[in-house]
Amino acid sequence: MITAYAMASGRNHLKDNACCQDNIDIRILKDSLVFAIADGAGSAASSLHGSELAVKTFCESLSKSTSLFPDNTCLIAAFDDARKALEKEANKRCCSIKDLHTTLFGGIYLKGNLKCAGIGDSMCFVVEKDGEVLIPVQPTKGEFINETIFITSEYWKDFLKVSDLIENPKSLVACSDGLLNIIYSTVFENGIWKLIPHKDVIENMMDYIAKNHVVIDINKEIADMLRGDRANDLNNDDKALVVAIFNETNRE
Amino acid sequence: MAGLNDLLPSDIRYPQEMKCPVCLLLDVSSSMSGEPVRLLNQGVSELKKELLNDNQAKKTVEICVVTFGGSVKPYPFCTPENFNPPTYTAGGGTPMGEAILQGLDLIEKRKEQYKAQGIHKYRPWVVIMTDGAPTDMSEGDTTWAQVVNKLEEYEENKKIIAWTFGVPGADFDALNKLLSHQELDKRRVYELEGYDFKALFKWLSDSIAVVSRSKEGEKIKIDAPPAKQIELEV
Repeated sequence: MITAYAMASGRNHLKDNACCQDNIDIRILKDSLVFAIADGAGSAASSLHGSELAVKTFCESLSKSTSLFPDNTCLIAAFDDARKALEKEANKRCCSIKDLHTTLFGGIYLKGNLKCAGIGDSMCFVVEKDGEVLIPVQPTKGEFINETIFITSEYWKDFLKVSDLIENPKSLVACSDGLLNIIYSTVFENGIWKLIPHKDVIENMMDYIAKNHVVIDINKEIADMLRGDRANDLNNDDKALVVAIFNETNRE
Repeated sequence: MAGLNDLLPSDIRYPQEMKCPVCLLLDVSSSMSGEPVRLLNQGVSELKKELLNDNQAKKTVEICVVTFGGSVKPYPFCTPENFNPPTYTAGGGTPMGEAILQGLDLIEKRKEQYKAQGIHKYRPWVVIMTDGAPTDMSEGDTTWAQVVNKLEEYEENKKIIAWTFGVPGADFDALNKLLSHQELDKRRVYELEGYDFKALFKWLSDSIAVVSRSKEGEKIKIDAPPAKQIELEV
């Protein structure tokens, strides 16, 4: 299994010397991968801490309960633990949990099977054996296009979505919505926003990482790409990206 | 070796806006030397200025230029704010056929990029401006047939809207034949008065600004070009 990940401030935040409010955690165990991405709300005072705490708690929790996989309970418990940790942090800081507003998306790959879950507008694209690109969990938008639902929202559990079990995936790309227009697009059709993965970009990225991960610092190259002009011309938001190639020998 | 950065899609500014691609095919052959090419350069600069003055058009319109004069030079699609045309110089023959084919190719590639990124588009405009006759094709040869067939196919399938403008010296018979698939009284073949490129590009920016404010599929009315329509039976 090859894994790579990076996050970077978007041009808007770089201009103001602000930190990247997206966060990533990733745990590689013996034969499994646990990963999480969180996107802190720009309008919340401490969302940077919210997103950091959310991914850390989620991955710690899920790493301890892999024996329950593929039952959904391990994923739901990890979201519960992340929410509790955020509530505790808000109490500690004497602030509202809304000040820690963050989305949370995460998943687990174990013995050839993958499951993921999310709340908010982060997402993942899974490349299947036949090369088709699957979106296991549709991101959640709020009432307006620039709104979303957070794990720190009041009725967060109502919006938690867990994917079906995906057997023997080839690879996955998980990302925050800062990758919009870079590895996916959205179109408004029949009253709903539809995601369109850029299959060629995803496939080329996988090929490049599979071929070069041994000879170059692939995490640094992803970070350079995310903070580069080309990516920021396409989307100036903060960006977080996790890539996992599960079985490179299957690749053409 | 190309890096990860090179794998990213090419920049399409304002991807949330519907795109209105315009392909300018400009004759810069030797007969355009002197005042005509100076006025052409002035007219193209004016086009940029006019489009930037329109808040909607500056986000919606994308321009590409293919010049033909001796050789064919394509300049890729960009928004008005990134449209920095060089000072064109005149010289050589008039390879109009190759320029049309390259222009149509640029449009097809841009449309693929829009599609890959889920960006909607208006029907692209192809605007041919010439003061002469094509020197790389003549009626009956392979290039001529290829160009005429492509223009017809693209217009019939609503892939483009083609306009031709001739200045003194232009071969209007050839331009008419290139667009002979269009109805005679609606054929978009025009004769400019003198070298009034400024008026032409002002009309062009005003017209595409109207397009850029329309809804997809909506029928719109634009002013007639500042030129005399040529009706030749072919």
